[in-house]
Amino acid sequence: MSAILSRTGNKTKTALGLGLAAALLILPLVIRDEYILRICVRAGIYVLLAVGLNFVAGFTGMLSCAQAAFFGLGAYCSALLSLNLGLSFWVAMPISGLFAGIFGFLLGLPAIRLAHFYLVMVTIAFGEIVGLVFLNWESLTKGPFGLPGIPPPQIGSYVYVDNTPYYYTILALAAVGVYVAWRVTQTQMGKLFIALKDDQLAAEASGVPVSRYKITAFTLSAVYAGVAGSFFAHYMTFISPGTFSTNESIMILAMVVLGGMGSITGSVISAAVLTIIPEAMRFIQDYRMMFFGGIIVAIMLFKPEGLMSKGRYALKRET
Amino acid sequence: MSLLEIQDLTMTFGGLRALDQVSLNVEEGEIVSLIGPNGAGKTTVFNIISGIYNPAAGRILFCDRPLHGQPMWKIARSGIGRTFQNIRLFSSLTALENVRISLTAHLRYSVLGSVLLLRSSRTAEKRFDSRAREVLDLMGLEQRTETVASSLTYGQQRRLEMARALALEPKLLLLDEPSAGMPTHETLELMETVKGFRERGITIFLVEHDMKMVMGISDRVVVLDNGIKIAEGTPDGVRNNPEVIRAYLGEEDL
Repeated sequence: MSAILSRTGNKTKTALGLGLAAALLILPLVIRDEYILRICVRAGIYVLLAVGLNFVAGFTGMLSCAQAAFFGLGAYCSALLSLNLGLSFWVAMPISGLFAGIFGFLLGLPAIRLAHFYLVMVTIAFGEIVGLVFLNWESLTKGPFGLPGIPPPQIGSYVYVDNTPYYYTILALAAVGVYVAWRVTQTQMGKLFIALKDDQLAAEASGVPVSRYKITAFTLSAVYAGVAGSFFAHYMTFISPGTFSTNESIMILAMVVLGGMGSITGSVISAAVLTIIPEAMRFIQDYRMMFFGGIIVAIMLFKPEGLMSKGRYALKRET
Repeated sequence: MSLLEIQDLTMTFGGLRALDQVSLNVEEGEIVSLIGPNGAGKTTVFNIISGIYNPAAGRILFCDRPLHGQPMWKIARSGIGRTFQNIRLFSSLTALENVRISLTAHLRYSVLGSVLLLRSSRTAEKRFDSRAREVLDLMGLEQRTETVASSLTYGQQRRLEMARALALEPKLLLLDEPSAGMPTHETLELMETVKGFRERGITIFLVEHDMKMVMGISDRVVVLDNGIKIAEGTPDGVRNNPEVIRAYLGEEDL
């Protein structure tokens, strides 16, 4: 009986997934509104950021407040490669992913020794340092003035102008990101991540080199952010240090927590929803952030395990 | 050569001397029990062997190689499996997945391969599953492979923890009070299981409070009291040792 139920459940899921995919694919053809497409592109960027952070915060349970720093490292790396070396977006993007990944690895080295608040402190400090470097290394980053004139992506002679090509690009990137993350959860590595969160000591005693896997999680999540940053730079064509603040990191962490720790679907939905809500509530002007905060509080009150949690990766609530 | 040689092991926590120059050997193929009143330092010995604590002095040789300074996971991979006094499972993983975690050491598996979704990683996944199933069969948990660990009964959780340790293919298995909280008939089953481990060539080092179990399966018994080894010998020898009776079993004869 339960087997049948879960099978029909899977069918419904597949149908829902296909429907959603189709809707996402034809969306720019139906909605020709640049403003709405712009919001969708931003949502796509946050999906990449949140799904990436899920490796660290969701699966392995390490609360990192550094995701925006990796986002910024990817953005600056990509922008500088394009502006100074004339590399195209398609070359700069994977390099930026790797570049951010290296920093993820480096942050992972000290971070794996820390837990809870200490980890939060170290990741915040890392984010602040990265922000200060963006701000003060003026010969390279032009400091607070930012980097203007980043060339948009180009395919052959076709140069990205309106939001539609950006939309499809970020859709493809996010789809690959979600697919890889989902695959990882199905593999031994995914199980190891969860085992680390459940009981680190028992994992070590079972022959698991815990630090190696924690660093892997950090590296993976930074690669996602680096790719998102590269896309962001070539989409906005202008970046400045203010975008990659600790506030932004906390926002991304909130997306992972609200979506349900460790739930990829949850991260995707809450990244999209949390990007759209502040825009959708512009009509109430100054009160919108208040409502936005209220919604977050409400989710935490009524569904503390997050929107999509199956209980499996959920944060354990203190009783 | 002994499988495990503990030499003059001393451990202090602040001012407390938890272990004071404890020496003991475990020979290959033996079942050795470590007993003593609460707080005698039994679990501390286990925690030092498995690398959770660093001893203040003394050393431990496993297969003639010192364990000192090695990380826990390397010690585990070198062939020392263990269970914990208060069961420590991966509570949100299924029974099968719990056992799979220990298999990481034995099945070739590449992190990059699984990120890049290579075919080799898919076949590795299949091998993980079938090997884990074998181990669960062995512990009588074949009906529970897909059950999340936290939903298992207490007895099943104990057995799953042993299955997880067994999956490491250890030479030496450290069992920390495996019969704690078990009704008598389950303890009897447990004794058979432990004897079965030995038949598979696994040496057993046991911390245990249940005297029926200790006396029933041990080749040798080592007695700790206040961090000092006060006796060592056959179950009968220890049972009749006046020092042990005074320190541990009480004044009355058994």
